Amino acid sequence: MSNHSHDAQHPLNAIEHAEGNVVFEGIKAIAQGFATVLKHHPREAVTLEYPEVMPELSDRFHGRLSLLSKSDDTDLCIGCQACARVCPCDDLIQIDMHRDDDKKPVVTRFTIDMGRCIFCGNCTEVCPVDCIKMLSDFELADYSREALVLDKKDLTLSGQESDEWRAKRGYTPTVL
Amino acid sequence: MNATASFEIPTLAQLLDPSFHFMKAIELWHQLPDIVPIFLTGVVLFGMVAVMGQAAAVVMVLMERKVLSWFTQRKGPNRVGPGGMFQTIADGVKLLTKEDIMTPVMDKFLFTLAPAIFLFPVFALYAIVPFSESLIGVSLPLGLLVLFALSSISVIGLVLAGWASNNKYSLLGGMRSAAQAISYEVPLILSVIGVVLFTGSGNLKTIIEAQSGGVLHWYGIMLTPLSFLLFYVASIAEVNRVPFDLPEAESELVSGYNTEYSGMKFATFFLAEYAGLFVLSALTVALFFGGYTSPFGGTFMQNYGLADAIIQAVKLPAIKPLLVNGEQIFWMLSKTYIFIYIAMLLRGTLPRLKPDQLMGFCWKFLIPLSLINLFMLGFAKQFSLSFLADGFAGSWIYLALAALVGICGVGGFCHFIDRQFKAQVAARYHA
Amino acid sequence: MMSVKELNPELQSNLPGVSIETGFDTNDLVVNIGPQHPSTHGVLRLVTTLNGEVVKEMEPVIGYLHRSKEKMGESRSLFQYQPTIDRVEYLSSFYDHLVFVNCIEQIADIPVPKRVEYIRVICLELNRITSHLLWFGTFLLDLGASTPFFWCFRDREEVFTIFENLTGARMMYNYFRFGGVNNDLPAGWLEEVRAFCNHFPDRLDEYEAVATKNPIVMDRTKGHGIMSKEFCLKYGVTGPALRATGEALDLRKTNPYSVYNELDFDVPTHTGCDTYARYLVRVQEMRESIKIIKQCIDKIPGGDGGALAILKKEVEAKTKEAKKNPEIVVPPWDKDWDTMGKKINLLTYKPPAGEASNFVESPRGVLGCYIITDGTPKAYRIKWRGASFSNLSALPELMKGHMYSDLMAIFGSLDVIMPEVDR
Repeated sequence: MSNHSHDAQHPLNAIEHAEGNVVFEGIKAIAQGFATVLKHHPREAVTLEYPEVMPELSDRFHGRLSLLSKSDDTDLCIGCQACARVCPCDDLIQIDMHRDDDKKPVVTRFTIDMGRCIFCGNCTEVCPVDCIKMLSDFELADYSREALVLDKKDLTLSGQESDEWRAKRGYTPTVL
Repeated sequence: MNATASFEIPTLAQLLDPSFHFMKAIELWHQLPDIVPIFLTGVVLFGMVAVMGQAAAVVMVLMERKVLSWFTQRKGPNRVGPGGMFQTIADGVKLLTKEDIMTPVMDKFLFTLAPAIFLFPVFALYAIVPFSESLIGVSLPLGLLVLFALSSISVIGLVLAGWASNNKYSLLGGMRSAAQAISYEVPLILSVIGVVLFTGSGNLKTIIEAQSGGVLHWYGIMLTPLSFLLFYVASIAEVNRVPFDLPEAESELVSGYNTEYSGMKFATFFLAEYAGLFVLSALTVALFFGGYTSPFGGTFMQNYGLADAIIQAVKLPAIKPLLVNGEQIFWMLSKTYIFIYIAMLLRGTLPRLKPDQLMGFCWKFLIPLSLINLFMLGFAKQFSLSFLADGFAGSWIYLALAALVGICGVGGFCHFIDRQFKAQVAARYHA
Repeated sequence: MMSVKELNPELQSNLPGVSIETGFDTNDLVVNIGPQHPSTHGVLRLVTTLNGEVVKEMEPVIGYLHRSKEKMGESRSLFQYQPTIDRVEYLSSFYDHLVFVNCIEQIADIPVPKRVEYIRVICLELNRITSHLLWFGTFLLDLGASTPFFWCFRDREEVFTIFENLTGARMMYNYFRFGGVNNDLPAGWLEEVRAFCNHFPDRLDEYEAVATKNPIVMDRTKGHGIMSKEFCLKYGVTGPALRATGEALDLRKTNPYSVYNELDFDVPTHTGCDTYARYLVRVQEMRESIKIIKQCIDKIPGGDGGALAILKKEVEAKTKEAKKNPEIVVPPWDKDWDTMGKKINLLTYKPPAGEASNFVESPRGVLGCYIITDGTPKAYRIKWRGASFSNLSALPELMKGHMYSDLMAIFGSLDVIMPEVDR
């Protein structure tokens, strides 16, 4: 602390050579603080009164997961397990599928435990058919953990809803 | 007592005149045995104090939450009732129905006693607050002495709460509050002495009457603005509000002395704090800002014949005291709420002091300053008595003289404080 | 006060509770601050021995938030692991992602397009502002001023809305990818950022008006918690705490990563070494971040997402025409702008065997990551170096001899976040 005399920033210098009296400077600073706080008094509140006013969410919002379908209400999902494999949570997405006589995939079970989902969006990124997507719906609270395990029926959107979703975000699906 | 008078049959005109009934009621009052009016007065006074104390606290809690939310661009409570008006009542009901938790290691008797000891002096203080000419519990010749006597009792409640909780945070909070309350009594009293010096009385009503000439006669504006500042700062410290809220200091001591309290006991502490702020703001108004008089002197009702005009319009002579007192209560409350708002502004702006800063601020700054202030006021008073007639024209000259003394004294003192402060900070680096 | 010893030097203390030195005996008070306490910013426990109000000794107890983030990386594929590192330092999680992604880019030698780098820098600096804003609010809340806390959160929410429009999440972004980013900028996003950059310095002035010159803040912070440069280097203290000692160690300047060497900015330093200096450095850093973001908005190749989409249509149309008429000039188009650097199939990606370490300047100090890969989709070993852990380790030494109330100011000025300490 000895060679502080050349350093204007050094607190000892800053204190010893500070301009003005501590008392008056202090009163000035406090008055400035009051003025700043009072300036906020007439400003409009930024509060969003949530249940009455819904937030405007972006198209990319990470909300509830859902499965889009084709325009004719048939399943888009091919049961490829890609989403289940990139999911950071163990066994969060569970898919059962088999192939029918025409070798076409039939998904018999698709469950997502929304109670354990961390909304990272990995599954939506790897889906080869752009089927699993995230909606802007964030109101997921329920009375039991079991109710948060969504099955295929809960997850699937109708063809019309899917088309609306795709139109809104300018999506051109990879496979249809 | 003319017992037969009450049996005279009133005429129809008398029956229609409310003032007749008013006079009759007063006559009846005087005919009652002595003990009854005394008892009734007591009950009414107690009721008045309790209702006003509670009502003020309920309004202030809501006001504080609203005002702080406006400062931070929020909406504040807005769910219960229109604009959140009944939020405090809902909170009160919640606190009343909450479980009253007491751990087995507590001193249960003291733990229960502490909120009561904290509350009662604050409510007792309402008795000496003059809300209007007539609406005053007791007009004591030494009302100020009662103020200081009562306000130093409540700290016992805090220390007891801190001790009885058997919690280290509570203990620290209780100890801090004891040190703080005792220290800040000194500047509080010293700053009021100036007012007493000029008024020559410790009666709050007399002090207000002395300032009834309007803004220019208010002590806080013309004669003793420094006294007012000292009194206000010390009273904010007395009621443990930001920036002097060390006994609670939620970022350090969780909640200080009331950490362990819940339910109605906690509500009692809460209520007493706000009631205390109200009383001290009201007393600031009474001592330095003309109390229940209007800023233009007296009351509008009396000065401009408003009261007479209203009486003529409604033909009820008996309501004259009602009108005058009503206006006085309006002035008193509106001024009081301005000071409460300022206290909230302080809370919105300033950070909390440290214990050593708190003590240093009191003993090294406020007390010497109030002594200088007292000397200055004594000087002014002496000059005004010796050389000048006691009148408004003369007051300007002694004001100038006092200001000269004041500027020299305060300026020199501030210079001293400046050097002290800089040396103190520099010492921290060398350590 | 004259002590008993002075009165009678030969006197020995036989009475319980009476010390010869002072005439009375005091007991130390051991206060167990935390793990649940309003100002330990999480679940830190500080076993503090107090003599009156003065701290005699302090021992931080950590581990209440340990979530085995390093071990998790060994049992998950890299892409699976990536979302979970948002939770390590949740106040500035872009930095964790940057370090992680940079390590893999080093190991696999993945090139990163310029546009991606600029997008990353904008995100990082905005994230630095949100992190410092939270620090500013809580620091003043620890000192007892409640209003700036709400103001800071108001502005922080504005930035979070900007982040939400870009990444879809407010705090857990999961946005950076190996060699790219998840998504291109949405239309109008850069304008949102620019609008924020334009009004934020005024807001910062308002915060400073309340706090910087306030005598209570100054007296509570000046000359308290002094850390010399040698002390900082001994304990590995980095970030604003180190720069407050005058040492201009900022990895953005000293070892420039990403595109920081193309940007013009200063490294705020102060020689106060105390709590107040750390405060000033952080506030100044927010202003520097605004400066960096403004430059990035001007320099970003391709510009806004909306403009880029229009350009792409134009390029496609003109390319078709150019095949017929060679005179038509096709506007320059970077192939990377189509993919935003995402050329890797994340489902099957296996980085080559190798190891890499990477360090960046996070809002709290030097944040590092060391990854060993063995050719499988999983990492063989991942080691994180969080700045909070080293900064926290200096606290017991700093607190000795200070008052209990100083604990909040000094601890607050170190800006420690518990999930980064425990990981």
